[in-house]
Amino acid sequence: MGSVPAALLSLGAVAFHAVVSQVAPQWHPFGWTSFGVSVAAVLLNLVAATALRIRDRRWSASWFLVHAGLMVAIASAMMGSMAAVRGKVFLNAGQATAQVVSAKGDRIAYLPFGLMLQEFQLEESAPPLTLVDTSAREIVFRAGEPVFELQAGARGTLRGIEFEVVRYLAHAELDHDTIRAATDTFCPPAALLKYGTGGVWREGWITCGGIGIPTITQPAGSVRLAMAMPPAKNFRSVVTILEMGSKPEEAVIEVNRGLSRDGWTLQQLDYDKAAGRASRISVLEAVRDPFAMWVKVGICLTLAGIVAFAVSEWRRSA
Amino acid sequence: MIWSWFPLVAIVHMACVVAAGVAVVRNRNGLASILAAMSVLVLSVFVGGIWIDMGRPPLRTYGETRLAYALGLGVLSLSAHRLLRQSWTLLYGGAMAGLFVALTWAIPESHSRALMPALRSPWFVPHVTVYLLGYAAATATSIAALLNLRKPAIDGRKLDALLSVTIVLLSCGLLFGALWAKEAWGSYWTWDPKETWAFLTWACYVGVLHHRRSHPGQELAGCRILTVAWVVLMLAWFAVGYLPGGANSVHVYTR
Repeated sequence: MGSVPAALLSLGAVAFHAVVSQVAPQWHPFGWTSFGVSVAAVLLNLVAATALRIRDRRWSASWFLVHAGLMVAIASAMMGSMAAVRGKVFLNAGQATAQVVSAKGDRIAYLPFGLMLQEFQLEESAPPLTLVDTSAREIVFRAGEPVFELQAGARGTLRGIEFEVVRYLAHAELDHDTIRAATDTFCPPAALLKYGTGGVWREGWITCGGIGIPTITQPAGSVRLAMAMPPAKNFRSVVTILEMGSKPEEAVIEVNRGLSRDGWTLQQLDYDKAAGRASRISVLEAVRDPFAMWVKVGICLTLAGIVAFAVSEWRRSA
Repeated sequence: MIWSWFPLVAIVHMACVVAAGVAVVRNRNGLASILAAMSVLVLSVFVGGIWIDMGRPPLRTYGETRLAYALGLGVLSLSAHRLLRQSWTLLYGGAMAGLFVALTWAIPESHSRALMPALRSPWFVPHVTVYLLGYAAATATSIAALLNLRKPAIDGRKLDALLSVTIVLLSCGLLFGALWAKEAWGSYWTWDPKETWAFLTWACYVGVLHHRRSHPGQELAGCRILTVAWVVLMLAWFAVGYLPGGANSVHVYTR
């Protein structure tokens, strides 16, 4: 078989496998729950196709870079999938751990260092105004309606209801019947709204509720004005790294900014969403993949090859 | 919010696109280029405006990506027109951009300034931009192939050039995504539904490239696969969330 038909066959094989996995329910009797077999087949075909090309001396620099890069990336990823250790690290504030628990929870590995969660930090965006139907216990905000962030001075019209945020408290608590600013930063935000429906103007507080204050909404015709939960903007764990014979070190692990140490990569994954900013739990993804670097090398080679391919094609068409 | 101006922007954009189409039909290519450039300018200013207004790249929701896609189509069709001197590129780019602007208008969305933590990465803009340009190039390639199925309309070398641009952009999008995934989740690739369909799209176009190189005389077969490839692309973009397994995709950010 020629090199190109071999390449086409391997592409077709893995494409077929991908289609089956995406449109048919997966169960074990067919053995189609893993891509390992088809990826190995692709790699073998890629090696065979490349060998044939090299034998026939029909190759260019861009072709070589792309195919060599793909081979390095796929082979390293396959070896990595066999050799890698992956799991979750559950951090509780004030407690140290080195345990990495596998996805199924059936295996435990250990980091060569301990991690102690000093603090979990959650940054939130301003909470949006929403509409709820309390009798149906559902949010009745519709797609296409404008999103208003509740901040001091914000004003607008939502489904015919005019409103203005008279006062906004980043952290609020209930003191008997009045709402006041809270010193506890875990308390939820609250907004004092001036709103009007049918020429009647009213004023009242709304809050999504949380520590120190229940959820408060305001009636506006057939619906109620409410504050949605503030969406997460970023979250991070401030940890202390404890290692035998070394001084404790402070490190920050946040989304998209992991920590690499002693062959392990730690990524910020999750937290106690019900507790929000008050979360005392942080979940990290821990990976030790000795071949990860080679996958990156393969990707970089492929990217270089693609650039070279683009340049050569440009010249060819010109 | 600048989004409230969108109907006006859409009307101006579509008027420019229609006028450019009429100019192409009447062989007034210079005027057509100016009108197409105006449509791109209108959309660029609007997209830039909402980027500043929302304080985040407007590439999160389907509606936002449709607008970026329409902008990418406009830019690509103008560039292709300048390079290839083919008036069909303006017609194609204008019609598709107009269609996607109209779709964005017809399908209402709520636009929030909020951007989830996973998307706050330096990879976000290059990954999505390269992909949307890749989608635009892929659509151009598939439409050229569709035209060739009826009668040879586009020169084979020009089709190859379009196919190459498509593959370069789709490959970069795929690889940028892998590098980003490694930073965000610790894995380059997880066979997430969106990743699988992105791979399928890439495999279709790369398959055609290999086929065209090895079977230079069999133009029609390649053109047929390119037409199917566009369907796969549209599935990858819009339908993944509705397929079995798609509900669990980590790539659906519009819920």
